[in-house]
Amino acid sequence: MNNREKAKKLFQSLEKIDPALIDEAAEYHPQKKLTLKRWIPIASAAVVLVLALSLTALFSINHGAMAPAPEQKDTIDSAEAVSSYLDRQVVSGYDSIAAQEGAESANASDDIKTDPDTHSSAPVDQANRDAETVMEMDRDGALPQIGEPLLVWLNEEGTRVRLYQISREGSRAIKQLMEDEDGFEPTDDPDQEIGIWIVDEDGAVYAPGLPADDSRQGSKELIFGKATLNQNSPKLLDIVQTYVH
Amino acid sequence: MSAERLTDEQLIDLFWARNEVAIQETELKYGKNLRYRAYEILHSEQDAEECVNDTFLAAWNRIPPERPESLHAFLTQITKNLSHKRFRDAHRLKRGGMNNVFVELEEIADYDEPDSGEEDSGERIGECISEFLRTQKQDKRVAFVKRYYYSESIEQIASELQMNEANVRQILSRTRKALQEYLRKEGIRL
Repeated sequence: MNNREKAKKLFQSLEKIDPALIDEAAEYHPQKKLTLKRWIPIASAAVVLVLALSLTALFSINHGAMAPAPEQKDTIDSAEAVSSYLDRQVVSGYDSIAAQEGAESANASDDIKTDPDTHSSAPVDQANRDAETVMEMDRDGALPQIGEPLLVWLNEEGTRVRLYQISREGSRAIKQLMEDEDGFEPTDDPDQEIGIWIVDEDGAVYAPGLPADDSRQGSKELIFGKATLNQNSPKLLDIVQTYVH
Repeated sequence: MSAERLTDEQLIDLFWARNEVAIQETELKYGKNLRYRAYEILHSEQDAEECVNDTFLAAWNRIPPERPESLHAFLTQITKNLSHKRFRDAHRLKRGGMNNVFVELEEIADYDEPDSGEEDSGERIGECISEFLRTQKQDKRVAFVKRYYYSESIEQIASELQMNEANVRQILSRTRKALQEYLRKEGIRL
């Protein structure tokens, strides 16, 4: 048998091969190769993803640089009790952002506890400045949460503030105490000065001394008429301990 | 409706009784599945339909005397064989192209066979080639079957496997040499 005849026999024998091999050849579809052209959209998507992750990480880092909670004192008086409690409950980021207001702000903050003589009652202009400061924070994204009342600790300069979110129940309770004129007194002592600020659902900030917007009747309910409160009040201490969160 | 369909046993009984209802009922029960199988190979609805009709005819001719244990497997195998044959016929090279295929196969056949003994049967050779192909990488195996079973052109194989023609030629050449060596070691006599 010559080679041509053998080749024909081989060809006929190929008809007898395993049908699975024949099926495989008929149905085989190679996986598409990742050519440069196909890599471009994948690479683009990867770059966008990395950028998004980087921005997210950057945002987290900026907002994660929180001021450490103040050290807790072993013995405290009633005024310090409120202060200490509020310090422990501080809304993250507010202090650090407020600190960026400058050295003047920081010094003023220290003055609260060290130099009572520098106190003066909060005038409307000061309250306006405070409101602007808070709103500035809001725009920066540190924000008072919309719809949440804030308990604000401010010095006589009005540039250094500490904000604490307080529930609406707490705010109403404080308001009720004020209306009853029971336990709350205006104070000339800056160490005892405390303010109530309300952030309404539109994000606007109301502060003591600021004229209320008549169009916001609902929000006006939560605005207090007095600019200063005596934080030595045991009732206020109770309310703060109950409602600040 | 499917609940009323006949069992395989009942269908085979109808084939054995030479009752033409057997084909109608088989079409109802397995027609769609067989058409799908044929279409997978042929990629043509018309060819698939014709293949399935040929399947029923083949089943009618083979039962009796055969009595398959699984009518479904029996019909599927017929459909696949017919589809492959149809595909092969459709893609088979013309005379000049086929000559090239035989020239290439001659390369495989050109080895020192055992001096004594009878020629091996087509089944034995086919089985040996199958064993060899299973040891090869998939793309080589597929290229080989496409070339020497389906008789496809180098250009067509290159297109289907997303390779260039030189690669296909190289793969086929190496596979032929490897198969030749395998057949020699197995003592195959053509």
